[in-house]
Amino acid sequence: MTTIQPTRLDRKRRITVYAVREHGTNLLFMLPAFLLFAFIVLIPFIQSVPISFTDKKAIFAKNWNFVGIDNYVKLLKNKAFLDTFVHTAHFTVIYILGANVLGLIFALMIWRSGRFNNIVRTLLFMPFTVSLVASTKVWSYVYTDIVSPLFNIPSPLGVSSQVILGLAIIAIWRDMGYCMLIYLAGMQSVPKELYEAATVDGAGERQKLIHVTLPMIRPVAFFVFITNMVEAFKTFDQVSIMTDGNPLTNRTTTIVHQIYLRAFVNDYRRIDEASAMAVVLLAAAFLLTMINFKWNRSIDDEGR
Amino acid sequence: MKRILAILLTVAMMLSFASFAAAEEPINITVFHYMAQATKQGGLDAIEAAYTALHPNVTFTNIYYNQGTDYFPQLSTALSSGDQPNIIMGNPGLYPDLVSEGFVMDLTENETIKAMNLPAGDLGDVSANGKIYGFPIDFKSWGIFYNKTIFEEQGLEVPTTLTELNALQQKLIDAGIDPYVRSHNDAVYGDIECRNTVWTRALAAGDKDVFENLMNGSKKFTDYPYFAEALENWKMRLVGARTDDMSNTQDMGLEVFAAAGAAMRYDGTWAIGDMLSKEPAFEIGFFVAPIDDEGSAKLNVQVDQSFMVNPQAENADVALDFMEYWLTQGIAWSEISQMPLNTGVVSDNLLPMVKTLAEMKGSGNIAHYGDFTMPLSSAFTTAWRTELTAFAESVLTGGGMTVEQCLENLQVAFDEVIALN
Repeated sequence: MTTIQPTRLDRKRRITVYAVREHGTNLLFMLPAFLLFAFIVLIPFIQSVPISFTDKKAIFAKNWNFVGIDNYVKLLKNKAFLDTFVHTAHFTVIYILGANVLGLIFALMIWRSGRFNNIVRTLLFMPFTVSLVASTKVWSYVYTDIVSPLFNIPSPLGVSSQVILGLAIIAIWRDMGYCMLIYLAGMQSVPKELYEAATVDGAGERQKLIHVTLPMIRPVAFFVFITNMVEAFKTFDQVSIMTDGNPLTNRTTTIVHQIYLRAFVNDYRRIDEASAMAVVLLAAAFLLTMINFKWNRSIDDEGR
Repeated sequence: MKRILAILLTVAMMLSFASFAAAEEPINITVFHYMAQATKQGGLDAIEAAYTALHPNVTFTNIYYNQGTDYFPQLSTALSSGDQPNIIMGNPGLYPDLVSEGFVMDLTENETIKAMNLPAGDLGDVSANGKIYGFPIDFKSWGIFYNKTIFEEQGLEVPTTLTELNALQQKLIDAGIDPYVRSHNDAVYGDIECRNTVWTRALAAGDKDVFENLMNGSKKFTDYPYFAEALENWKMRLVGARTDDMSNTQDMGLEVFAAAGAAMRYDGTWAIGDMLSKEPAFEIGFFVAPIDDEGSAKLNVQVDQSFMVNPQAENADVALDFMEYWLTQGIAWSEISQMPLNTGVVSDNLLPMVKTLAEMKGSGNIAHYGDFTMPLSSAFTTAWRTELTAFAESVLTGGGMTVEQCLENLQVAFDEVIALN
C-alpha cells in the first residue's frame, strides 16, 4: 500500500491548532492598530473610490449623479492639479537629497568619535521628536523675523518661487537626524573584517568609504529613501500651517494638500475631484515604490 | 355646561403647565462662526449674554474656525455627521451647497427683517437665487488707515485726490518712513485694494451685472476699463516695499502698524478693534482711498456679519428668535466689536470713526456690493485673489508685471474656472 506524503505546500495550508494559536496571537496583537488604520485610512479611502466616479460636490451633499471617468479626464486637463505633481516632485528631490546627504555626512562625522557622539546624536535627533506643528510655527517666525530682516530679503514663504525650498529646508532640518541614526546603525553593522581586509589591501580611508562603507549600507539607504519618499508624498502639515490663506503659496502646494483643499475648503467644494486625485496619488505612489524595489533588486542581482 | 367649563379650564391649566415646563427646559444654541478678531468674539459673547438675561434657559456654544482653512471642512463634517449647528455664519451666496441641501432657512418672508426696512444692497448681500437666507447684522468697508501721530509729525494732510496721495507717499519715503505695511499672506488684501475703483466705477456705469458676466464668460476683463484703472491705482500705492509685505498675515501686519512701523495701512474696518487692542493709545485715522483727482471715490459697503439659521437643527425657532433679537437689538454687539450696524443705530460707546462710517452709509453715497446682480462665487474669488496677489508679489519684488499682463492672467484664470465647472 502506498501512502501519499503531504507535500510542503499541503503542510503549509493545513490549519493546525498550533498555527491558530501562534498566528492568532500575532493577529490579536495587530488588531488594535489595524482597526485604527482601517477606521482612519482604509475605509475612508475605499469610500472615496466610488465618489470619484460621481459629481458629488460637498461632503454633506445627498444627491449626486454617476459621471463615469469624467473626474479623471478633468484631472488630466487641470493644470493646477498637474502642477501639484511638479511641486511635490520638486519638494521630494530637495528634501530627500538634503536629509540623506546631511544625515550621511553627520553619521560619518560622529561614527567613530567617542567624545561628542552621544551629545551630537541627541542634538541632531531632537528636531525629529518636536511637534511638527510647533516647529513649523517657529520656523515661520525664523523666516519672517530673523532671516528676512537679517539679510534684508523677503521671507521665502512670501515668494512663490521659494516656498517649496522654504518648506523643504524645514523637512530637512527635522529628518536629517533620523537619517543620521539609521545610517549610523547601518555603519555599525558593517563587519570589521571587511575594513581589516581593505587595510591589508592598502586602501585609504576614502577608498574604504567608497568601496566598503557605502556599498554595505546600501540596503539601509534604500530603506531611508523609500520612507523619505513616502513621507514627502504625504507632506501636508507644514504646507497647511505655513501657506494656508496665502493664495500664491496655496498655488505651489503638494498633492495631499490640494486633495484636502478640494475636498473640504469652501473655495473648491469638489469632493468628487479630490477623491479622483487620491486614487491617482495612490496609483502613482504604488508605481514609484514598485520601480524602486525593482531597481534595488536589479542592483542586488548584478552584485551576485 | 359646568362640566364643559371644568374640562376647558383643566385643559387650559395643563397647557399652561406644559408651556411653563417647556420654557424652563434648558436649550443650547450652537453658533458656528469664523470671526477671528477677539473684539468680535467679545461682541458675540455680549449679545448672547443679553439674550440669556431675557431667556435664562437658553445658553450658547460658540464654535470658531478660521474661514480660509478649517471653517467649511468642520462645518461640512458637523452637518454630515448629524451634529448640526443652529446658527451658521456666512454669506449665502458663498455657500450655495448649504442653500441647495436645505441647511439654511428661507427668510424672505421674515417679518422682523421686513420691518427693519434695510436697503436693497444689504438684503442683496444675504440673498441667493432671489431669496433671503441670512440676517445682515453689520457692514464692512475698507480704505487707508493712517497713524495720526506720524502724519502730525511730518505735517501731512489727509489726501483727497490721487495726486495728493502720490505726493504724500513720496514725502514719507523721503523722510525714511515706510508708507505702508502690507499683509499679502492673506488673500483678501489684493482684493480690497482694487474694489474701491471697480465697485465705484461699475455701479456708476450701471454695470450691475459685471461679475455675473465675467463668471459666465460673456464678457472679458478688458471689456471693462475700470479693472485696468483699479490695477493702475493700486500699483501707484505699491511703493516703498518692505521685506515682510508678502509674508505678513493680517495680525502680523497690524502689529507692525500699531507699533508705528509704517504710516499707513490699507485694511478693512473689521480690523479696527484689533488695531486698538494691540495699542490702546494708538491714534488712527481713516480715509477712503482716492481713485482720481475728481473725488469720485465712494465708501464701499458690504454686509460683514451674516448669519443663517439651520432649520434641520433642534430648536430652530429659538435660534431664529435669537437672530431676530440680534438684528433689532444689536448695539450690545456693536459697542464691543466696534462694527457699525446695518440698522444705523449708534451709541456714545462707539469710536467716532465707527459712527462716521455708519453716517456715511446712512447718507446713501456709497458703492454697495449687494447692488450687483451676483457676487463673485468662491472659485472665481479664489482665482481673482490669486492673480492679484501675484501682481503684488511681482511689483513689490521687482518682477515688473504690467497691468496688461495681470489682466491677461486674470482672464486665463477665470476661463479655467469656467472650463472646469
